[in-house]
Amino acid sequence: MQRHATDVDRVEEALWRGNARSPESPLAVPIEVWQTNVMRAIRLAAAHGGHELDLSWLALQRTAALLVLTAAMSWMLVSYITPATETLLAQEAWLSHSEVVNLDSWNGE
Amino acid sequence: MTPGSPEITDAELIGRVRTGDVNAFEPLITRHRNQVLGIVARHVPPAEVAATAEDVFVRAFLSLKSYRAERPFNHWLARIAVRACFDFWRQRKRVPELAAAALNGDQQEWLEQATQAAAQEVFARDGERRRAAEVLDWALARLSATERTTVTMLHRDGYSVRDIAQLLGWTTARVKVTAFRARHKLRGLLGAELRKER
Repeated sequence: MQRHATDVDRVEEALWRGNARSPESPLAVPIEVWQTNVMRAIRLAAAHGGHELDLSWLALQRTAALLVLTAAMSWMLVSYITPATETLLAQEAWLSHSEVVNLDSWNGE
Repeated sequence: MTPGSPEITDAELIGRVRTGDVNAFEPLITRHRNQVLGIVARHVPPAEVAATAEDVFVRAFLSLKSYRAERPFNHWLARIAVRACFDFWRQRKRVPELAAAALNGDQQEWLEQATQAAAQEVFARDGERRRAAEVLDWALARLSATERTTVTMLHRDGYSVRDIAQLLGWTTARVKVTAFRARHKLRGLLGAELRKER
């Protein structure tokens, strides 16, 4: 058991030592070529307004979604609630009309 | 005086970029690319170094407004680089076949040699270094992105617990617990492979 623990220690030590930092260039292409590509990506990001544009575009999308939602709710109100209100108003008008008739009758006609 | 000349400070170049001079970012890349490439190369596979390091500079450019001049630019950039590597492994962890591969004969042989104190010098040779890298990759692929990043920074790159905490934006306690858990898991993996051979 003790021997096994020592073996693991040695493997672990060798593993980290064998993976010490290498002085070679980590890139497969010349560093100038890589940097040109990085600058191209940055100019592209800048041309699209960077993060800020992304955020404002998101805000615009959210506003548009809210507008659509508001329009849909308004349409629901018009479709379902307005006829009900109209009925109520009609009933109100009918009652008023009856009252007028009754009132006329009461006046002795 | 050109933007790349040492007389122009990082802060001045950053100021120019912030006012819309995108080209002023290039000397910043020239000055700090070795540091970024060094960090990235130690944390992601060789084939991914160029793309990840590019991602670091694009991230830095896009979040330049959040940079505060009280801190050195290279510290701020190092933090972005470490985060980009951490994110790389978080994404990569979702690819299950990486963790499924077993050690091949060559790698198991390396493991056995590593237990013999007399054979220690052999690890200085290129071929052995490559096999050491393969075995380490195999073991690290079985850790979470959090464990992998912590243990490599601590044991391979030689960062202090405090530095790791700063670079990853964690508490020192979290770094210590994660490193302990990662090493425990690594030792378990290596021990199991050694038992298999006997």
